[in-house]
Amino acid sequence: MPVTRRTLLSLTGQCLVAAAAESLFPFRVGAQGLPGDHIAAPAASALPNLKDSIKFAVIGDTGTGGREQYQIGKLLNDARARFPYAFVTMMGDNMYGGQGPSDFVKKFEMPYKPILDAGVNFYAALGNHDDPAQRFYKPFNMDGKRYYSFRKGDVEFFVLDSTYMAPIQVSWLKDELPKSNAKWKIPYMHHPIYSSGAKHGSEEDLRALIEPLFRDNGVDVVLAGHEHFYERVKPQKGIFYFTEGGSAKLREGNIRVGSAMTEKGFDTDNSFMLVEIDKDQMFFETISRMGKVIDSGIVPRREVAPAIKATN
Amino acid sequence: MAFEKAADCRGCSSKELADFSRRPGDQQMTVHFPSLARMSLAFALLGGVAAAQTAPRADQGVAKRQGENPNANPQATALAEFQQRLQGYIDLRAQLSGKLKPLAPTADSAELAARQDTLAAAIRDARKGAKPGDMIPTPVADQIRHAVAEDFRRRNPDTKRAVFSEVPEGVRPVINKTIPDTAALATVPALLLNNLPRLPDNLQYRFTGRHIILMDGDTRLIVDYILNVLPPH
Repeated sequence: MPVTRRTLLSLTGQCLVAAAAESLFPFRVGAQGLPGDHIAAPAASALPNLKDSIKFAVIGDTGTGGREQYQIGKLLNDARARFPYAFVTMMGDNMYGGQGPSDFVKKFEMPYKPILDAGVNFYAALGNHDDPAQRFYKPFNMDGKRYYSFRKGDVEFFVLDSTYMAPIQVSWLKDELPKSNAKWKIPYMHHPIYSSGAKHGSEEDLRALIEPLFRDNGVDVVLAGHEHFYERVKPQKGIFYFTEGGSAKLREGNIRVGSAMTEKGFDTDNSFMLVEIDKDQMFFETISRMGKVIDSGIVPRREVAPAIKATN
Repeated sequence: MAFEKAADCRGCSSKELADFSRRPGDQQMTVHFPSLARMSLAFALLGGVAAAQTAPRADQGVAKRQGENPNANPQATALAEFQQRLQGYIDLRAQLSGKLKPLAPTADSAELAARQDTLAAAIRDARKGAKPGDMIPTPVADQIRHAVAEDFRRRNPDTKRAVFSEVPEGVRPVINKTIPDTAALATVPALLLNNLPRLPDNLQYRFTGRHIILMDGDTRLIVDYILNVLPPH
């Protein structure tokens, strides 16, 4: 039987580390000591953790300053011991409510302090709760731009401002995607263009404008947030869509039951993703606030016609 | 169509102009678009800072232009006026920013907030006499209303619901007020943005309640607004 992208997604699913692991490695986050604070580090990983691969984490809808954000922050930091990711991508809603100086501390600098101290860079997208001036906040690495790109080895990320997709941004993406000669082109933004969320659902305007650009320019994977849960959508026109908008907020039970779009959904607890890209494969693992691996798999890169080479 | 075309010109390269003009049914206008764009830009450059500070009532400026050239397309004239006023605002902002610490990447969030506040205060002071309609001429406001009505007419209930679910309520539009940072910024549907007059990149259309505001993206200042544009929701 030929190996297809679907069969390659050998998911470990709702697996691996459950209650036993939690009782073996318990620790507490925060001072409240409330039920549910026991969190365990995953005992096994689907990530190959290769020497020269690109390793990063994905978090979304984080900026609450609440207990769950700190718990995910702790897990994220602990994960570095077994999976030394080099940077973190943020799917927007980096700051809910007030966005004064103390909010930057409480909702970003403190929850991720050990990671920031270790020199790990964060690359933020803007969400609908974010002040556009966050783009000037240096630790978000946006260089003063609402939309931008950055490259890590064979991977180029295109960070979009989906809250305000004016024609000039579409035009920018239309120019930049074909120019990139990266093996992997990964756009990410706040709003998912495919989602089974009952609260918001798919962003169809965006889909109409930018999906053709993804399809025609060798995009394999798109990341988003906004919906406060995790979802991996069945490949759409050959592209894999992940929503990770539950790294602090949670909209419990919000994935539409029986949605034909959902390949894997998780809306009962907070989560974050770890991703590793090596040559033509992208490995991913999604971890819940309880430290369980709730989804994992491998996305192979599509063979596409070579992109138009950059002229500069 | 003239409405979109004339508005498209600001800040766009000739390639972008060509891309934007390639919509179905636009062919006839496309022939005239580049010259119209250049005309608008020329108007804008001639306008200068004064328009943003002490803009005359929208209809006065438009009427004056039409008086000068009775054959002028009224929509194009209004849009040129709009572009001129936007340019005036951008020039004013640049002029004020030049005297302040620039909004540039900083790791100090307190410093960032202080720079934002200082720039907002300077703009507020320079535009203290600004009134609704000073930036968006009445004919352009009417065209925006029309574009929004058309857009929502074609939307199905699900997409309408998705748009409205993000619109903050309770923020009353007042010129020179800052949108509180506790309020989410409503996502403006991308296909609607396609059909509104283009803005410089740091000015944005946003919804609040049933209203559209013209917001300075760096300071969250309300530069102008149009009341009751969105359908009741």
